[in-house]
Amino acid sequence: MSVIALPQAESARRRAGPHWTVLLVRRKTTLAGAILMALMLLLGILAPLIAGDPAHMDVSGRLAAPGRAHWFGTDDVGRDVWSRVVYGARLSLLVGAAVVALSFVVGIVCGVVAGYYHRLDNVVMRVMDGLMAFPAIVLAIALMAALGPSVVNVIVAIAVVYSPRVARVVRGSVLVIRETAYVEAARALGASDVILLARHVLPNCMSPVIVQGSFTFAASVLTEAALSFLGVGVPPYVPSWGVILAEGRLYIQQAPWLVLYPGVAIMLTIFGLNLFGDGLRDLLDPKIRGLATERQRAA
Amino acid sequence: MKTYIARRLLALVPVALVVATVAFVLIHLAPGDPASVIAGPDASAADVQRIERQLGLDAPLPVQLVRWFGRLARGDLGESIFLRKPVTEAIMDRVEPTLLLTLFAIAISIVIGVPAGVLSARYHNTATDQVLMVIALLGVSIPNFLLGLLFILFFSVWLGWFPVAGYSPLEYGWLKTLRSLVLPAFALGLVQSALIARIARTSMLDVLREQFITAGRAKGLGEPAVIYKHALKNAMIPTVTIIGISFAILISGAVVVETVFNIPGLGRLIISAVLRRDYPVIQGVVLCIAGMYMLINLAVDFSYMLFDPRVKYQ
Amino acid sequence: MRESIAGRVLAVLAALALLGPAASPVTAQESPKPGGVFKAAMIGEPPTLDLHTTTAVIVQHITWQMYEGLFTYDKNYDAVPLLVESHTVADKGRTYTFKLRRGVKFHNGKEMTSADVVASLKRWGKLATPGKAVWRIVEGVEAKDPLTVVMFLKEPSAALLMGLARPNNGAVVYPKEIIDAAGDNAVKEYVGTGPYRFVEHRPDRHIKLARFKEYSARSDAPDGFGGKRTAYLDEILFIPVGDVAVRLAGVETGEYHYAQQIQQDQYDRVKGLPGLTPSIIKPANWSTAVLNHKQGLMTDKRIRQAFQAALDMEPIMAAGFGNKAFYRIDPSLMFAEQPQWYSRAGAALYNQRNPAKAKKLLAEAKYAGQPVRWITTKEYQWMYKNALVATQQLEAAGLKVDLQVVDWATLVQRRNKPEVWDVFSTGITFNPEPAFNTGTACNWPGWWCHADKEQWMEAMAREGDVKKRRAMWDKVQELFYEDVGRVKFGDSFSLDIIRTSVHGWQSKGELPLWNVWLK
Repeated sequence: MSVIALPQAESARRRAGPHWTVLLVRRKTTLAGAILMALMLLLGILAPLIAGDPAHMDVSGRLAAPGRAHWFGTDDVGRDVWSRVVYGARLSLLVGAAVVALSFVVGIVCGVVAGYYHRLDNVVMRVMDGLMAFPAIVLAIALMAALGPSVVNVIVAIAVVYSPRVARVVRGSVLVIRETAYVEAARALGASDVILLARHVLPNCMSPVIVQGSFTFAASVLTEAALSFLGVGVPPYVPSWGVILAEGRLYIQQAPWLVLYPGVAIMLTIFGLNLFGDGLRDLLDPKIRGLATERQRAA
Repeated sequence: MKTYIARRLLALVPVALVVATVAFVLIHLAPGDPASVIAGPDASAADVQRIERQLGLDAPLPVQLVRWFGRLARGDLGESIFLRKPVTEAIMDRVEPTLLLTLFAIAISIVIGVPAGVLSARYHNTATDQVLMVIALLGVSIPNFLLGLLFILFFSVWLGWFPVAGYSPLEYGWLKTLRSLVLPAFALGLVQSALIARIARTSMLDVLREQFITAGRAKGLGEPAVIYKHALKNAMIPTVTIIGISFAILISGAVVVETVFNIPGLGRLIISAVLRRDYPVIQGVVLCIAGMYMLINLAVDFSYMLFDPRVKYQ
Repeated sequence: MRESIAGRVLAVLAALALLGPAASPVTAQESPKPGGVFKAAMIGEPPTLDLHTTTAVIVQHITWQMYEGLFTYDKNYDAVPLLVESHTVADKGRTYTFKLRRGVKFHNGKEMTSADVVASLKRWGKLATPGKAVWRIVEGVEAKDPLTVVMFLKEPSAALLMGLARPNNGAVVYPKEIIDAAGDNAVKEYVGTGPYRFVEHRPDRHIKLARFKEYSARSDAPDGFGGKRTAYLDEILFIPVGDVAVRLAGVETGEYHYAQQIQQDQYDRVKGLPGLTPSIIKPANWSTAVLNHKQGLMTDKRIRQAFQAALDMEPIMAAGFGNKAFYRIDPSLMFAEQPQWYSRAGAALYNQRNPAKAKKLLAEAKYAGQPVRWITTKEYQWMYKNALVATQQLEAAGLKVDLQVVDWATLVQRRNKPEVWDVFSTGITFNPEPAFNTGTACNWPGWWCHADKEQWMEAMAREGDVKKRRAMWDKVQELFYEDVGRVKFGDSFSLDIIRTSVHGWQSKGELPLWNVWLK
């Protein structure tokens, strides 16, 4: 329980206008994004219920065009494309969520340590800068080379790539909040570092971190698809959108549905995430205008 | 100004050290002892020992790290296990296509992105703006390899306008080279132009709201002068930043797109090195690309001196 | 007014279009013209360019243009002389005296002598799979004079000349100095006597060969791979294009003159396209899963039998090859195209489709769910797909499979180490002589060595009478199925594609590029 009420929260309540859900709905694009995201989420979560076995091969029915039996057609070994796309959503979801969670943990710890303890700041941030000096996919590829193809390794590799960005955002916030009067006061009153961090510093960092999170999610879906497409991501028998695209491109003329459906799925997911992320940013951080977030998304 | 330059250069050093260390660590991340991972399960004990000696893996870790830095300082990136030639040579063989592709893609992304963003800002909140921005967001959402695949289908297979894959080296004529790079450069550049458009638009909007613009308008300057002389120059700073970041993104995009179009550049080199566990090459390419990225960032920082007079007097 | 002009222009253009083809004279038999750079899109990078050291087909494709052996095949797949002028057999078939052709030049200008041949043969006998098989009966080989080589055998052999003629992992001749310099490793220079010479190898870019101007050609007419070989092409570029879609698209647009291993699915579409000619290699090979008899799960016969019993070959082959015209469910280890060797021995154990029997066998073997490590590759698309479908069937029968997908060069290296795999995918290429069939060889990865089988193989190599040889081969095939030496999925035919500008083409799996010219 905090002895001193955080002025930020107070003024926020005073400034408070309509509830955040209302604000969300007001912006149509954000709503569209949220709907797309929810759709993909549902697909992924309900996969076992709405789709068949993505690995089951019915070879005699291979390369069938979309129809009643197979909504999205079948691929070159007779697997149902609808099931593969749905399970691909599940995998992307899993990878995205895991990467966000992992990068949050690592990024927040590093960012807080760097922001709060001045002596460690330089070291930690140099390491983060060093990691960010590698273009995302290049670093991810190199890490996959060392770790070997598997879903877990893909998650770890992508999380390593995106943690520094989270760390940087957290550190920025921590630096600001550390200097505020109430934190000084709380420290003067004898609150331990841990309590200060947990109760006062962290909650105020969350907004930019959450915004960063939505971009990290989108980026990990893209990166996993790219890694799997290149053959250095998940093993080839795991239904991932990237794998489906890689295998489908050999049949792009005879069976364009193999490329179209997973392609559209990827686009819609990332589009939705981006729309939603934009809206979230406006909502949570009206001060941080387009520039910084664009840079966040880009980096 | 000199202090600015000096400070920037100095700031590079620790980052470079970290980059070099990360590249060093790669070999040791794999489960099992690095020498046998590199030698592969097909190697005999003698082979494994040879590789250990060749790569200096028998020394304690800190010693290895120091030796690694030393070799890097001398420009020695080691020897490729599969290609049996120095890594630097293998990289130099492949750098031309990647560089050309990236430059071409940047040109496309700037030529399309900046005017689109500026236009959007000019006609802020009109239909033009909305449409352009939705298209831009869509562009940012499409993976570049998917765009590449679709381009191949439309422009190569169905229309036959461009070669479906492959790269024509400069020595066979720059026109042929350009033609072989059109599809991949557009696949890369279009996606990036969307990002640049969004940034250009936002920074223009920010600047247009600034006081000195209102003052300029009040002074009676025509709209074109306002936009192009004053606003644009100031909006260029964040835009140039994003162009610098774009370079990094484009290099990574090139890695993927090179595979789609069968272009023998750094991207293909690192992918085949990964599949063959050719660690010296992986380390070398990763270092090379990170190095290029750092240099670009430096160049971007220095370009601020052109755009923002305040920088000069720091 | 404007419309009628447009109409007139269109009419003229239409007339020209109709007249065009008729206007150009239809030339009868074109005579070959030298010139041109031939671009061949290959499945990937070769693991080496030293033909003695590997059975990988891609190495043979590339190096066969620059290396030659003592013998080669004619159009009936009988052995005919190539570097040899003539030969005599003495001492009841135990002594072969080969007289070499005079004045045969190596690419480095040196003239070939018996010293080079002896060194090359010895090396082949030591390193190559068919070489080792032949060398079991070789007492010694020596140079009698600079143009005569004598081979002493422990026993007469019916298969010696065929063995020397075999292109894959072939007994080609290198200069002695290069062999000496290489020691036990791969040769560092690529010098042969063939119509094309090695220029450069830029890994992942190309391998370049150029016409060898001082090539010593035979004078007899071309017959199969024998007879006169002429290098019409100025240069040959072997370009590794791992992606079959890019290979196909490249040959369609004219970037490549030849693209190999195209998915058979594409046949119906390709055969109608102008500018392209499908080249069907029939027979090509039989797709197989090689089991590890030396170490691991597959050393247990019951597990092997379970593996064999669970499989349904039709979907496996259909997945890998698509078009029905390109595969054949057939148990024979030698192809139907060679009726003298075609056999149905052991057929009852082929394509059993019996997962219940498999489950029973696994229970008997007390199989505890250890994963079967299966190495396969996507570089040969069909290998991966065969393995994928087979895996599904095996898992339904209770076997756990750990499918490891690597690139071909890695697979070829990895299969030499028995402790890392239980099964690997490959194809056994067409070979007219059963004595050298890698599918049944003991000293080839898989190490299927069975006392009875070795006995029959050796007897067959000795035996001259065709009917007796055939009976022995039947016994070998029966054992192949009973002991589960390997698991054959089925016969497959390959689809390569060439452009119509390529003339003199023979649709052969061995890819001879001499006597081929570009228009």
